Amino acid sequence: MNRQRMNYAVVRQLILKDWYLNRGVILGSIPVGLVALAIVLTGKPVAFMLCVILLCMVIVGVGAQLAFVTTINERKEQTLAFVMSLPVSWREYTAAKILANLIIFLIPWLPLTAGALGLLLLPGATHGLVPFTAIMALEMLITTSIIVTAGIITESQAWTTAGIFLSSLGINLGGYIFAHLPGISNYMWGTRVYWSPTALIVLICELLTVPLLLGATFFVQSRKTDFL
Amino acid sequence: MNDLCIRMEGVSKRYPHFLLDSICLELREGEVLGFIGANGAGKSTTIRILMGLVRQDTGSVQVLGHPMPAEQTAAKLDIGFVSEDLRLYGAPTLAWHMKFVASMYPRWDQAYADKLLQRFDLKPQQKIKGLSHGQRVKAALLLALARQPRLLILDEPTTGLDPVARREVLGELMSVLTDEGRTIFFSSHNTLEVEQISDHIAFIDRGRLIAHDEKESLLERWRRVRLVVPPSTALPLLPGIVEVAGTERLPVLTTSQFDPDVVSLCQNRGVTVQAVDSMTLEEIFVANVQSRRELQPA
Amino acid sequence: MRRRKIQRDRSQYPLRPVTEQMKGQSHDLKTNNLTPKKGEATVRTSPQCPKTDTRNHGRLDTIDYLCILSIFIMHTGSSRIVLSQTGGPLYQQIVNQLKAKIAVGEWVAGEEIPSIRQLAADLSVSVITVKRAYLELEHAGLIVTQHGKGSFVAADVASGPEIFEQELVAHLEEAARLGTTMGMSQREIVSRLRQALDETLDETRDETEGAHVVPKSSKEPV
Repeated sequence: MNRQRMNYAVVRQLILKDWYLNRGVILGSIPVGLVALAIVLTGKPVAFMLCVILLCMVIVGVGAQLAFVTTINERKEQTLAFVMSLPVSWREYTAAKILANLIIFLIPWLPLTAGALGLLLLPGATHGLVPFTAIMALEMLITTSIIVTAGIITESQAWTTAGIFLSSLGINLGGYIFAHLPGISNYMWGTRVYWSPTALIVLICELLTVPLLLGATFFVQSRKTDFL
Repeated sequence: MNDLCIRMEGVSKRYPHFLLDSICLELREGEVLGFIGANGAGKSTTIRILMGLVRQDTGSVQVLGHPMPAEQTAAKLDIGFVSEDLRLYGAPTLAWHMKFVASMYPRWDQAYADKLLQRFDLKPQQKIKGLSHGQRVKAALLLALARQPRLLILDEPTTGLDPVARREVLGELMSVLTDEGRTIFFSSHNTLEVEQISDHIAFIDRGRLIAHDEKESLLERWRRVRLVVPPSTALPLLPGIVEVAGTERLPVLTTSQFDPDVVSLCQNRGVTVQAVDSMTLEEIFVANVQSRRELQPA
Repeated sequence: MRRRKIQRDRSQYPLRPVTEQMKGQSHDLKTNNLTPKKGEATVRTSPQCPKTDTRNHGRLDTIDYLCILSIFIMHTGSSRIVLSQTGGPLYQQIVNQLKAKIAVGEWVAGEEIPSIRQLAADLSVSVITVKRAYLELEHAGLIVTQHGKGSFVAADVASGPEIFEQELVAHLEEAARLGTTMGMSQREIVSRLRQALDETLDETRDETEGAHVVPKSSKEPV
């Protein structure tokens, strides 16, 4: 395909379009997440478990919903043809999808993650959990990226749903593994924030996985010949 | 001579159960081409290739001078596309869609868009999911027309519209053509309207282009000839016979190369010409397809 | 029998036939309602539709006229030509109607007529069809098209019914040829022509008098 300059104005319009269509869900999830965080403040140990579960559900749910709606639903509801009838190339469309999902997902993810970390840094809370929480939060970012990748590349509802399922499992699995890594488990329940080398390595790997996944998506898409 | 708006040469595309085979199409600026084909004949595939949404396996496609699908963005700036499997977003309003499309097209004409709103009786503040099918089609057409495209590619634009809405839409499309630089490529099952507004016609069946002609010459050379043959007289061999139906004494011949001389030819042989009926586009299409399918069963 | 207002008006508003129901009623001009004759039952209604609206049976009021007029203007554009789906080849209909306009004097010699593109857009017909019609009219010497300037009625065009002279001659010759092929004598052909004339006159008479047209039985060949 001809290497043409990417029209960033068009990409921007597409990202704004996806934001407009999904703003309800995104903006609605923030208060729910904040409520979940607030539950912890009641001080009961059960509340802590509840908060964690609720928070995970909200963030993963929002991410999956966003990724699913912007990729699979657009194809299913045949609005993809509408978008592609506009002066948009496949590179711009894919780039816009990837960026839209990333940016829009960050809108609830950042405040909720910051809120969780903030809570943990309150006097009396278990400061040691900070690295673990940060790692888990990034896990969720990766999950969303996986679902976006699945949605864009497979173009199939079935495969993407499988992707959602597998990545949710992955979070649980990942959480279990990370919690039992010696570099992390030793310091989790301590009272100070300690970034052990293990924790740092895991964090950096996670941070690299996201652009890798999304870059791979872009690459695979550019090899396709049929887009509709 | 006008420039070529669309040029497809030897375009082929293979799917697991279908082959689009060596399509050659041409359309000059300012003209209207009607594309007729059965379901599954390859109409939508051809149109998608034109729009650069599907890449052809072989052959070259040039739309408005741009090779497709390589320069599809540049081409799409001048194209208005409406298809029956194209939907607008349900939750936002028509006004939002108008703003969205306008942001992508520098030549968007808001005054014309407002006029179309009135003519099509659409309310901009209404959500798309609240519109009837006919209104949605008209909304999609409004969005395509208001961007002042040089080329309109329409895949079944009036399917599912009631007769009044169909008339409105056709009237609007035709009024667009008063500008000589505008071209229309459309496919439809409604052969009556194709017959009415097309300058050129193309038939497609089973992935092949089986006719590509000027409409008037197509209508002129196809005829149904009703004969009265006296017993023990042979049927005269007329050129271009596609079908022989009726009975031995009262045959009905369908010919694709009618000539007025044919009448005198028959009379000289003692065969009476009872009637020479012209055929509608639909009859021509069906006769054409059936005769080909008999020659090449699937 | 006293002429009812409705029946007399039927020639002006031939759209709806008078029904048996209406015949027993008089038309109240003030309220535009049909009032039942004395002693007769009111308008029958069916059990599912308790109250049928009996206003304006067979009459068109101003609103109806305005609607029809606006539809008429909308659909025929500025050229006021009306095409029909069952009227034969489109180009032929255009040729005939333009000829009629010139014959009747709506378009006079030398007057500019709509351009091919404009007419095509007005009638929602392909440019190529209009072009064909214009070419035929040009061959018949009725119009001239000057490239870049537009199309005009020919300066030396014969107005009035002479335009149809050629067509009439062609039809008569065709009738003569067919009759001869069928083996009819000259007298037979002439009497068939008279028959056709009679039928045409009958139809015209029926239309102006507004009486019910009796369907004709098939005539035996003389």
